Amino acid sequence: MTAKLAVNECTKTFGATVALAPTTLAIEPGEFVSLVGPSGCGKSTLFNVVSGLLRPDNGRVEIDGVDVTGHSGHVGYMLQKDLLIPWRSVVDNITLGAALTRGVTKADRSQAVDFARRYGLGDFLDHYPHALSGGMRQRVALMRTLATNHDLLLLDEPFGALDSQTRLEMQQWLLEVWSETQRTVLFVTHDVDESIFLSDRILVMSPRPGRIVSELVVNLPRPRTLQQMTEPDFIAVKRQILDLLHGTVTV
Amino acid sequence: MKLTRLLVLVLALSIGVVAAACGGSDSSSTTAASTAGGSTAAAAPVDITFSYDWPTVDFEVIPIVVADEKGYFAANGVNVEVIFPPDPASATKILATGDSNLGLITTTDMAFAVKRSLPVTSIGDYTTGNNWGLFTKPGVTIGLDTLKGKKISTYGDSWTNAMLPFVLKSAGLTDKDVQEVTVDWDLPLLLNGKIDIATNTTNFLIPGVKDKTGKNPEWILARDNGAPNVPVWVYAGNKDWLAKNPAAAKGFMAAIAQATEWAGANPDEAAAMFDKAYPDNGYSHNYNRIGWVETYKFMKNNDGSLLTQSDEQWTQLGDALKGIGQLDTVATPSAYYTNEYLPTK
Amino acid sequence: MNWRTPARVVLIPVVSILLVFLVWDLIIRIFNVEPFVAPSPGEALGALRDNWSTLWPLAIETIRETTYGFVLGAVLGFVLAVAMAQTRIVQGLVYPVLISSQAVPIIAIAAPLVILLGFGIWPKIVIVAWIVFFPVAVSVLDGLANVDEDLLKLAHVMGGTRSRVFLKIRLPATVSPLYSGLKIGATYAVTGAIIGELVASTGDSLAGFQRNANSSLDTPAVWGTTILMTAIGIGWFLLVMTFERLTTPWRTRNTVRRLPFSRRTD
Repeated sequence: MTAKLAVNECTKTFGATVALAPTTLAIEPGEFVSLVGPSGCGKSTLFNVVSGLLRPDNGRVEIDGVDVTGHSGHVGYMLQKDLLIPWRSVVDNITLGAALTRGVTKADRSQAVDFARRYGLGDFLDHYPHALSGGMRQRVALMRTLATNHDLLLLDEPFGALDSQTRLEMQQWLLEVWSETQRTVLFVTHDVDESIFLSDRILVMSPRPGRIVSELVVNLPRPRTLQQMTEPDFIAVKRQILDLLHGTVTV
Repeated sequence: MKLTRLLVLVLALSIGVVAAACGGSDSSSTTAASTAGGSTAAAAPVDITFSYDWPTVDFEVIPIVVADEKGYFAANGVNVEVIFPPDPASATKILATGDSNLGLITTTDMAFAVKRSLPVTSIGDYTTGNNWGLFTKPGVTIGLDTLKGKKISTYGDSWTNAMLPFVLKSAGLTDKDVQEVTVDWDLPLLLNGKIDIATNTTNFLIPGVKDKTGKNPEWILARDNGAPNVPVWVYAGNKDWLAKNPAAAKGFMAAIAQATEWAGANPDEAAAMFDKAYPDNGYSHNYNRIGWVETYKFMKNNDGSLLTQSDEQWTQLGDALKGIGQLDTVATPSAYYTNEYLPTK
Repeated sequence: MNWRTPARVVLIPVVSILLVFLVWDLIIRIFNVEPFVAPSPGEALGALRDNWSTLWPLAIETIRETTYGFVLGAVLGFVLAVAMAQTRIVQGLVYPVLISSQAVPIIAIAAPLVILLGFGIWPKIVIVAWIVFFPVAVSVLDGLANVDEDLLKLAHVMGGTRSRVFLKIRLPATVSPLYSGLKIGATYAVTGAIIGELVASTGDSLAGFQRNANSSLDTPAVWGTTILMTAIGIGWFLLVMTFERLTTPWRTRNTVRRLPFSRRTD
């Protein structure tokens, strides 16, 4: 089976800094993979390379076996900022991808309405973003990301700006959406708990130079529950990651 | 940091420029020489503020300049400062509020002042006849039959607003039949054809055109075409001030009478004095001299007297204004003027 | 909508204006101001009423001048801003000229404009446009420059085409700044028309009427005309504000206003 995403020896240097040392990774279809690491570890650079915003100095990026190095428009992309457009309604924001490329069709709109209804925003179809809470806005942003109909989704700390309560809700909701739509997710976060809770695999990165130092598999059964967050298996993985991040164990 | 320092420097310089500008002396008024050493009246000279009729200075101020330069004011116990109104209509208001004591205004201003019960009265004629008219540039004929549809300039002042209807009426026209254009200065617009006809007085327009083109303009006079032959300008005073300073008023008018006679006999020197007193007046010496000569032609009454007013001139003006609907009632002549401050011969 | 809000929005300004009139009246009475120096509000309004049949068509003309000039200035300012946003070079060339244009006093350009354009409506239109185009250009340029970088990145990642990104993201982002510029321009636009009328007019204009009233020392009429001019200026500003509210519903509403048969496709 071809990997959904294959990154092959990509590097990126900015001036004197090596933001990303030669990096290789592969993600299978339907996987949920997290990148965890401190600032400067290269996770944002890796993200930008995969999304096509940055052209790597060396190496290749392939999606479904097709070389897309340096080309954008092949992945779904979401940031910490919801980037909802203030003068567009919820539905119009969800259809933004179509609006900016080939034009919005009736099918696009009904898909958007579908998403909204299914994921709890059915009463807010015509609302403007400023009338929604932070959590709701990020949900709209995720629906916008889904609506671009790419199999591979890149989510860059999407819940970083939310309070911890909302964040937990959003994490559970994300898992629900992910399992229903069967997309492949590459997820960046600072939050170790979040990475373990969400992922199949966790790639731990480290700075100077930015690189992947370790890969951990999360064997916890799905569907994930909050209860698992206090169980020994969870804690064990957490300890491993923390040790890697704070340098008391080398692999 | 460098940019901040540069901006602070610019700011400091700007403040300096503004301070210098504000601290500089007020150039819009001149102070007549103070009295040092002359054999004047025992009392200190009375200060008089004189408001001119126009925002910018011109040669009609020559009698005052001469009276100052030749010491006539000092000899008559007065010290005169000339101020200029921000617009032509304010001259009368400045007199009425007492911001000036004496001033030069038009007779129509005076008529309206009485209509509005302003404490102002006319104390002497400046010129004695109506030398206002309609002018075209050299070579262009003008007559009552050529007025229709033309662009006619006006200054929007009470005199022009009163006189133009008389001429139009004589031509069988109303203001709807012409294009009245309000301007600040008519001469350049007339000469480059932006307006067809300029309204003005002969002592201003003729020297202006002559000075710029070497030729005379064409014109028709209002007094030949239905308008009353009354003086255009008068010396006027604030009633309260006059009541309190009769001697000073008389001194002023006596000095003016002397200065006017002298300037009439010596137009070249008079114009030179004007140029010296107002070096930035913006007009050529030639223009000032010719203009003064033209003005002086209109200053003597039939009996050779200067400044003396009559009942007739005021009733004539009042009746005419009433006739075209600008006045409701004509007051008794004594409401408009007095000759009591004129020097007795 | 909260029933209190519209009433409050309208009532408070009206009350404050009435207060101004009251203070004005008191000052006249207390200081015994002469009628030829300043009239009481009653006298000024009375003169306005007495001369209404003459003034109304003149006011319409002033409003016409303001409207044409305003639209011209707004369009010009907008186009200039979009042009300047395209390249640094254009911006570097045009911006200094823009600033210099505003440093020139309006009165100074009015007379040359008359020589060029005659005495009709055109000098007034140009003067109003001169006043309006600068705040519009500056605000719109600002708006274009301050579009969220991340949003543009997102659009890029989504594969957005250059023209669609311009039409759907950059251009709509100029609407709010545009109105800021328009509101600033609106406060001065009527003044510009009046200046134009003062310098160049065939026949009658509001400014001309006031000048003639001034010449015949009809102070109540002078002040009455000022009140009328001010009212036009205020009305203009309110008009722009209303337009803004209507065309930027997201700033005041929670939901999109649905018209009966709206069918929106992008």
